[in-house]
Amino acid sequence: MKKQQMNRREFLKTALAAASIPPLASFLGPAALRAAESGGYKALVCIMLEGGADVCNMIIPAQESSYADYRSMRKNVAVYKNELLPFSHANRNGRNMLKYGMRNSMSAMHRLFGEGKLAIIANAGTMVAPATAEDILNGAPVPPQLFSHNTQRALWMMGNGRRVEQTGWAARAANAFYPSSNPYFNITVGGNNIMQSGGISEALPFSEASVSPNTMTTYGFGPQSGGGELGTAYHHIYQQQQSASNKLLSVFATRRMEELDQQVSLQNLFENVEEFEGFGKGERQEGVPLGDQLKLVAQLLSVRNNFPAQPGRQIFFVNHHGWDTHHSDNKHLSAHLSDSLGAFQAALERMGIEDQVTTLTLSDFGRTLGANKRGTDHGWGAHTFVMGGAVRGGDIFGTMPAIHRDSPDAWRSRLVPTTAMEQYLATIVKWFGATDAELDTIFPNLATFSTRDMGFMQQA
Amino acid sequence: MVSNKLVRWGLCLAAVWMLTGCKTGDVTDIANPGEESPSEEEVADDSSADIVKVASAQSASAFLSRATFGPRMEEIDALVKAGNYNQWLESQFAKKPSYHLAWAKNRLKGVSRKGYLRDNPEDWREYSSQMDDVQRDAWWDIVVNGQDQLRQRVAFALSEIMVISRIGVLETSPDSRMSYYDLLVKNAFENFETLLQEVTYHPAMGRYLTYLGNAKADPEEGNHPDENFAREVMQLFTIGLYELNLDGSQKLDAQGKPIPTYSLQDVEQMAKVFTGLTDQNGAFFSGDGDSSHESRTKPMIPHEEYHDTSEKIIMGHTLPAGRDTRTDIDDALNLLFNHPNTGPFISRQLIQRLVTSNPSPGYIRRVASAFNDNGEGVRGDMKAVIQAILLDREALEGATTRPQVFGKAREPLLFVSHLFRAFHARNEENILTQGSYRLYRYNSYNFNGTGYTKQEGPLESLTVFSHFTPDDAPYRLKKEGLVAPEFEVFGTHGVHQQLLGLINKDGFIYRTFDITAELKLNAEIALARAGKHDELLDRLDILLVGGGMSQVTRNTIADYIEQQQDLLSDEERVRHVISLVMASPDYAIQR
Repeated sequence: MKKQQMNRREFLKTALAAASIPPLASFLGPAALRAAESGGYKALVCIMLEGGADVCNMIIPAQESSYADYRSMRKNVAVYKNELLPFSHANRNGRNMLKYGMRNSMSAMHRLFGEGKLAIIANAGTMVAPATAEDILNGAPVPPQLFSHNTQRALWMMGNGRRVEQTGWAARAANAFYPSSNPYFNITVGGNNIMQSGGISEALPFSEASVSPNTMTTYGFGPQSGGGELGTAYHHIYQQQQSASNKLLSVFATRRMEELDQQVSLQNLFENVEEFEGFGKGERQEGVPLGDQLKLVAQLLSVRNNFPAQPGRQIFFVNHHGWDTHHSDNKHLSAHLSDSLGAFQAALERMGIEDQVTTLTLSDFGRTLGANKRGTDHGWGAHTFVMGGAVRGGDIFGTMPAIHRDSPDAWRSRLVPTTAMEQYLATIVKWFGATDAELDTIFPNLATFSTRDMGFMQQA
Repeated sequence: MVSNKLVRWGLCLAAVWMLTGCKTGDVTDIANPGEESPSEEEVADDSSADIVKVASAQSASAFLSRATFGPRMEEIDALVKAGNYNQWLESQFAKKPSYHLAWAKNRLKGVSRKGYLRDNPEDWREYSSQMDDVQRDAWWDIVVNGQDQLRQRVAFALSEIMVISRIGVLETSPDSRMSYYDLLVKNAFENFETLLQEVTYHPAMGRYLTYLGNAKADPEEGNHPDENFAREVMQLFTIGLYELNLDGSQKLDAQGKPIPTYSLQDVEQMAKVFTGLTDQNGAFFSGDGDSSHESRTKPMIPHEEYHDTSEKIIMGHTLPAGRDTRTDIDDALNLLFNHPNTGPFISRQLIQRLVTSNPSPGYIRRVASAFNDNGEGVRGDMKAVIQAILLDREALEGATTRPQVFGKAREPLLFVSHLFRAFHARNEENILTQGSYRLYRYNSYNFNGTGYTKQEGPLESLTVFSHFTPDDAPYRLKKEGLVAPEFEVFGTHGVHQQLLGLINKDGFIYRTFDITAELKLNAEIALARAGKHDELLDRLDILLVGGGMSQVTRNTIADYIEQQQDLLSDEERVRHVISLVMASPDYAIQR
């Protein structure tokens, strides 16, 4: 094959020059800083309890008769009464029993609840429209593919219980807050996820508190490789192939180019990063332990001002694996969740940003009220947890379900949600700074539900 | 032309999430090139039994990238010489299977144990942890050096569809996992129904999806049977969530909505079927500590007193009351095997694993038809399915006829296996010790599963949903109606980890921190020494990229060679050139 001789040396020289220009410039355009104007930095930390959390073994009715009902319903998976950390709550909405208990593995969350830094949102889930268990039994529409892990988790992350969206709610939030450019708005320490996909920029991933200096552009393939020449050739190939006609190939090249650029624009990100103690690894954790992920989020928050253009808003995604407890109890999982949240809130307080960061949980779904022999199966509604200085904690928001054999809140042993996940999420995103109109864009089915602000955040 | 509509719905399937996006219609432009009318397809169906000629060394290499763990030059040459693919397939179908558990046991001869875990818990823990290490060695040795390449490649694809994992409850049962992998190897060329049955009865699956020791509902306790396997065997292993046409597109109801294949009630009924099985360990309910070593690799058996014998009505079919466990299970599996979805659902995924992420509806239809009938009235003949996948003209000509969408990202494991195979990696000798006592020496690539990525290993996904699902796609592709499942494993650390981790550690893809395999580069170095750089690039284009190296990539590398001519040794130059080729997006997307 004949080589094409035309000016290739010059071509390469140009490429070299291009590679040395900091690509940061493109991010410094007129970013819409509306969010930053209203009340300083804010962040959301979204923890996905992947697999479907059995919250009915985390928040347990503690009053005598209701505990007995719970126990006879859950039988072999029920938490013993002497294993409960009892609590009462503010009951501002007057809808719920006063006494509940957390299982005793959750001492940190129990303490945070008592200190008013943690709130429980009762029985939230994917909904098409408001409906009771009886409505559902009579054929009211339900979200697509209830009880299927990936589908339900996706609806939670797409922020619409009525239908499948192409983009996630955090990506739409990014575009609402920063319509021209938002490369550092969505950050993930929990892997690719639909929640942060579909905005102007893809979520920025981190797995450790460092940005490798060994980039292709700086060192080529390594110190022994002859320096930057090899890296420049590599860089040039990727740069050119961004316009390849094969779409998989061009997207692959484009993503890689973005990574290379980020390595340059973020190379000083972790300067003066803080160290944090108290994040354990938990017992029998699958995947990256939640503690490690939240510690990394804390470290990222400690260097928030090192991000180029200092974004005023950021959403972090964290993924805690292992909640699909068909054949097990969530004692270890809930302990690790609780301990990790405790350590994280302490880290936020040390940095003095506990009022600016709100942490929330999401999950595929709740689990069946009734048990199989060793665990529980895929359900629907589930309680969620919100933590932070801006949370009106120490209270249960929404309506707790009755847990007994003939519960009016259950359909085939699955809780029918009394809070749409959009209501839950919109309350938080409103605190984050979204206007009413933006909330309707971020959560397209929100208007179907009458309450848009559940009242658990201290809104400005 | 009919195809517009077909394509549109096909892409709806290609992105199940995009129920609304399908109405836009802009996706048809992408998929139209190469799409054929049904009449042409009849021809394609007829021709599938014909001899398919090898057009060039490039095509032979591309074919072997789909059908093996990466081509070697002598394999490409042999295939070109043979002149047709059929003969190669026949010879692969006839190859003796390489079994992973046997490999591992052979390596662990020095520490073989007898007896029961409950009697010798410490011994078994030691044995398990050593076998756990050897499991990865077994996988690497077999995929790199095994002669039964096609069988192993299909087994690997199946392991990403019918998933069990090291992560979770099976972590301490490496023997059980290898035995499970072996059943995929064994059944790769058999019938899909047999495969499904053996998967269902295997204790590794029983433990992983929690129906080992699953008892019928106890009215006293008020509990219900575990629904885990009942759901996933339908959603992931056979029929999927929505009713499909033969070409993989979704069927639609009168309102234009997709039709769910099963309801919650069907899952509850199906859960009753999978009661009564446990391992061959004596007791029905067994904890880890009670499990004997032998029982982890033998099929589960029924304990009839725990089986739910009531009537089950599943998707409109009745399994009558009063029957035993095996009859119920085999009938239910037969129901799933014969479901019209199973052909297109499984065919599409196998095409994705071997050939291309976005097969046309016609391609899926042709393969699903082979699944439904191998030409002799047999349904589920895996050989017929594999042949239909690999010899379809879309597989062989897609790079030309569907240039914008054809191909798939190479997943990290296949990237490394190709490197090892193409350059005849030689493994290193290791010594296994117990404490200070030397047990034996063995050869190993010392490639610790995923090593540098921690993201992908054989049977090491985080959930039963595997490392990626058939509809995963970055938004930039999703919005065009395309998927790219393997992109999921380049995320947290991105391509970054795959490429930098492999290449950057010690300057080259050779004696890196995690990989101690030694590569043989003699042929390449000889070309470099003779200054035959064009020939070198030609060779690597064929060996690695299947002829898909773009002009821009080639020019850039040629420039680099020229520039480094006097600065680097011949061997260094070769190493750099190979790294540039394998690091290029041209290589990353297998076409």
